Amino acid sequence: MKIKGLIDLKNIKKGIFKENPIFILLIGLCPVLAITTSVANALGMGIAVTFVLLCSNSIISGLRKVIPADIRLPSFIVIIASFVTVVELLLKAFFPALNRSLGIFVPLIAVNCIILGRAEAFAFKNPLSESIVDALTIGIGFTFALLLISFIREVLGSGKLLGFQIPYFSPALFFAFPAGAFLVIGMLMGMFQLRTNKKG
Amino acid sequence: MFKKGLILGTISFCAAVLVSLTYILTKPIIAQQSLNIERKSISTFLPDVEKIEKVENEAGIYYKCYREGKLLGYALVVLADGYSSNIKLIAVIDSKKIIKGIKVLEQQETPGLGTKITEPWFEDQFKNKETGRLVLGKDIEAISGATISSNAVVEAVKKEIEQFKIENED
Repeated sequence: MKIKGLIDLKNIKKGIFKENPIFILLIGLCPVLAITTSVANALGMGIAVTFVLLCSNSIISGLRKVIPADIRLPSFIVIIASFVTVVELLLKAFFPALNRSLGIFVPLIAVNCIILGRAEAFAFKNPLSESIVDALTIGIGFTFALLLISFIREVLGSGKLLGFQIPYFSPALFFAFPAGAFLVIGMLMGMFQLRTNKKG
Repeated sequence: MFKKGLILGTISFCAAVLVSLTYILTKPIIAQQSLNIERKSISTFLPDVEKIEKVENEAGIYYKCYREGKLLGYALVVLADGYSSNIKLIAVIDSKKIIKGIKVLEQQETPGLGTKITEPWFEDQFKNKETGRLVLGKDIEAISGATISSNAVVEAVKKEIEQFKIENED
């Protein structure tokens, strides 16, 4: 088994730009709105989702010849939900502060449509190595999007960066609220779409 | 048909084994973490505390807090029935049942509304109050949009402290 293209820059670029789950594919937006108030939260959420995606994509791809098509959805849900529970327990044990600030959005990774979407659209139809690359590509794109949004929101909304106060800067609280999240995501989405459209 | 059921059953079984193993392995660590957080919040409200002793009996779980052998106060673990979850919090009182402070430890209330019970401005309202002076809307300002969560915290704290019997120290 060769994990070809894993270190390929083209794949990373594809995840960040051409197939970015947030800005281009527009999936899994709910946690994005909620947890991007700080960069630390965004990084934690990005890693958690990438981990679940990696595990579920590999298992589902590995079992794709064993699982009959008409029971694939319940199987996906069981597999995904188990990994999410594992992640939740691990976060509780080793990163309790992060777990508290992500709150309900950790168990909700189970119903994040990025994960079920990749299982259905990619992992169930493609070999293991490609599914792993796909999980990493999408995971990196998702984490990148979260970091970008949370960076803008944390700086503008609370005048902080990674929890440290930025001197001589008075924040606009608006960006820390959900309405600010919509505005930031909308603007970024526009920019990314513009870039994709220009490239044809 | 039977074969499909068997496949789904096997997947579910493997998943259950994975989850159970993680649960068993992380359980002691999680318990230790929550104990650390409880102790940390006790010492923010009773900065002089030197020794914290855990008591578990039919009245519930609470901590006795000492300094140089003298009892400073108690920390009660309070369970409240919130809007969408069970809220667990710690209420620190002195030996005259005056509240030194409360800290919400676990909750899964509505994000953005009920979750505000964990914010310092809400928790700080309980400081230096007696249970007789815990009326929502009068002594404690409720969170707008989360009256049920606010009320659950206030009532549970009040009930727990009122029922708690201060032991006579010899």
